[in-house]
Amino acid sequence: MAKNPKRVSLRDRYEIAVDEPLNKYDNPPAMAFKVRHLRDASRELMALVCDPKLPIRLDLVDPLSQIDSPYLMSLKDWGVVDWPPEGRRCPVLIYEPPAGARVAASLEDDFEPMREEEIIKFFAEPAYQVLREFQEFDIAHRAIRPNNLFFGGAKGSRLILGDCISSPPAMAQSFVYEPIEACLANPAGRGMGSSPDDMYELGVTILALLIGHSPCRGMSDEDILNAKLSMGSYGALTQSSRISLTMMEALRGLLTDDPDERWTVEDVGMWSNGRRGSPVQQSMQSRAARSYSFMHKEHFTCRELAHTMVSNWNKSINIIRDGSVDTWLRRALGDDTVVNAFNEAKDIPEADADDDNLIGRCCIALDPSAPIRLREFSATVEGFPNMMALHAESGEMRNAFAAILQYGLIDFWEENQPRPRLDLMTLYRDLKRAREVMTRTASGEGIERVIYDLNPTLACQSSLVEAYYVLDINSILPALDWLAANQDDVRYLVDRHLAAFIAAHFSGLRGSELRDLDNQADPNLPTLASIRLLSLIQERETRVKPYTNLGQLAAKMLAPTIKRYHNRETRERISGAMREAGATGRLSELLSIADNNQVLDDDTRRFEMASNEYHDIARRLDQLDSDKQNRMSIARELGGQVSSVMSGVLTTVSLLVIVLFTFLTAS
Amino acid sequence: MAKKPKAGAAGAKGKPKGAALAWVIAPAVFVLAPSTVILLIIGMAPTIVALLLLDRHPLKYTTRTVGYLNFAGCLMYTLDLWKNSGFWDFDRLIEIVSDPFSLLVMYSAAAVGWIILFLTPPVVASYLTVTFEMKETRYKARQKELVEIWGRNVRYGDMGMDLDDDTDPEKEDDPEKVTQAAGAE
Repeated sequence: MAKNPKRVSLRDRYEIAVDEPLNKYDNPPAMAFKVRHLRDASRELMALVCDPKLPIRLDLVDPLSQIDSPYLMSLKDWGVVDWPPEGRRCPVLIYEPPAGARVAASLEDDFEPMREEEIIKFFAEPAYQVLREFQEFDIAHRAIRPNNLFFGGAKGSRLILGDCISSPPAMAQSFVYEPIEACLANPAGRGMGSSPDDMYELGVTILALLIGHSPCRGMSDEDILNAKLSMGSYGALTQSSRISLTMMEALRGLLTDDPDERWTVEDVGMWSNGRRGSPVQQSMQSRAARSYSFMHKEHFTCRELAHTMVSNWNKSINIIRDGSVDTWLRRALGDDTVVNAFNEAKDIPEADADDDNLIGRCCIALDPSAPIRLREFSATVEGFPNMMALHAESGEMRNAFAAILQYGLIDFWEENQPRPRLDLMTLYRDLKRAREVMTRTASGEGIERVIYDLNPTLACQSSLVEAYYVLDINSILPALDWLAANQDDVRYLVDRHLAAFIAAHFSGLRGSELRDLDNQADPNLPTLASIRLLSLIQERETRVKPYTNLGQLAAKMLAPTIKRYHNRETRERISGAMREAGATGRLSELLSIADNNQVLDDDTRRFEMASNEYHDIARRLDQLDSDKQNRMSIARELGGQVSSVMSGVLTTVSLLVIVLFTFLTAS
Repeated sequence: MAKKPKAGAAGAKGKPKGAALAWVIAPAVFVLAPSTVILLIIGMAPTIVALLLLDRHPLKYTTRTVGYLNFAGCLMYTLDLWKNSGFWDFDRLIEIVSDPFSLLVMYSAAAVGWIILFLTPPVVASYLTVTFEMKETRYKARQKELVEIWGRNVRYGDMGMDLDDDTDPEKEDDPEKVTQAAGAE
């Protein structure tokens, strides 16, 4: 990465000017910068540099690039670039910037109110056209608010919806612009949402444009939520505003709290085209005849009570166990569905009768459309993936997620929905599978695997490659090559996150590679397994690309494996060969040298022979030592033998001489 | 090891057999050639003394060393006895045994045996000292060579253990640690 360049190139097509920020187009946390198209300098473009820590909505890139509307900020391209101010790689979105400024610089400021006709003509009608296309693609914008609206066209003749990809859905959305269900969830767990959520945001934005500021300004989030819960959204948001009948019709339709009764895109279209009907009556939850008092607060609806129970988690177990809620539900509310659901919530086996489980189930029974909540964890089912992606490092959230899966709260939530959520069937299946995967502790499994299985477009969170923003399997080796070039103290190449990312994205695994990553018996095996894993990724391409920095790092990391060989010559030979293979950048070549079983077996066999010889010599030396001690007795023994032999030889010679002499003299 | 008792049993059986044979042959020889037997008894007195009084070794090296040469010394006179007279010629026997020179010859031969017996062990001891030194040097050199080729782990291969750092062939390992490590293995 070059140090502080003024221009950053994206795919040799765009040049982002690091020193030319376009603050008026910022969509926090994404920051806007001027972009020059390298082949067509006349094109006005800007780049939104996204926060790399937050998952961006990449699944929307494809449908958005197909929507060609003058009322939506046009997404031209996207990519990941080396971003010098951050000293890392960041995702960037290339947009065609709107001609005018924002409608509202911020949600806290006043802005010029618009007349009803202007709102219908310049906002409602264009929004209808854009959101109809969103509905066709079955996606939701989830970022409709005055400070994400821009004046466009000649003299600001139309309003343009701003970016909706640069941060997780509705995460950057202010509390007041979100329906009650989303307000009850953690910002990260609001979920992808659907058209009714956009309709709600549209309604709040219309109201804001009408009154010249955000509704409920100056109120805290908790106050806004309490007002919405007690009065309903329409009542809470339009408290002190004078609304005409025309606008009331739209606002009542758009701000109704029951998503099934909320206006659809078509209703907005018809309204903006001048068709008038009677205003939708605001649907409120069943109110009890008398209140239920808990935590110094009077509750008339189940939803309010559930919210207070979640806010006072530890104390709420008492009112569940003492039966007072049951009595209130039966006598004051008289809603058999809720009574039955509450009884079912309490009817759990003794083994699972944990307080958290009981409270979580009771909250679902009291407010089935609310997110699933367990202590600090609060997310809609579709918000679970994002929630885990963003809070994976929080032990509390991980435990809560595990507990929700273990208690089967998702199944209970599903049972309590008034209508089956067919759109969530795939997610239900994935979450059920996640329950099993969570219990496995091996590399490539566990919570990390669940995160990547549930978030296919999430960048790898591994501390090794996090700065490189790895989105797919093809980016892993370049990322590690970059790591090898930029960091000196790399101790391992695959950690739990990277293993899980590979397991989730790479189908060519044999399984043994991941198993060996956890091998504690042989300290060399995890290193070999990680390089084998990366080698598989490298070799899967038809044209294998070499990664020399990674190869050299791998050779360095494999250096201790040389100790598996005993023979010094073999060590030197293999060490040299490993260095050479590492320099080629082909991990398979490196492995064929470092992990050659034939050479290893041969070395082991020869080492055993050498060891036996060493010990044989040691035994001989011991014997020699002992012989030295007994040298004189050995000398005597041996001397006796030698002297008897010498005597025998001498005698034989003498006998021959005597016999010959005797016979010769006799003859 | 299993064969040892068997061999012992065979030896135990063989010894009485040989002794019995000797008891049969000796009287026969004495009857057939009494003068020769008497000459040998007198001439080989040093051997008989060594056998009966001095030699405690089971393989009787002293007796053999003295006896072989002593017999060579006696043989000349035995042949003379056989050549000049018969097996029953006691006159010639008396001549020989009463001649100091003949006795000197016979006993000197035995003395040569004793000299050999006394001189050989120191010579052998010196030889052994030199050989031991040479062997030790050779063995240690080979061990050093093995450590240089295979590392210090070659010392502990049979214990099934490996030292983490066995690169320095000169380094001596703490025997206590090695024993502990081997025990842990």
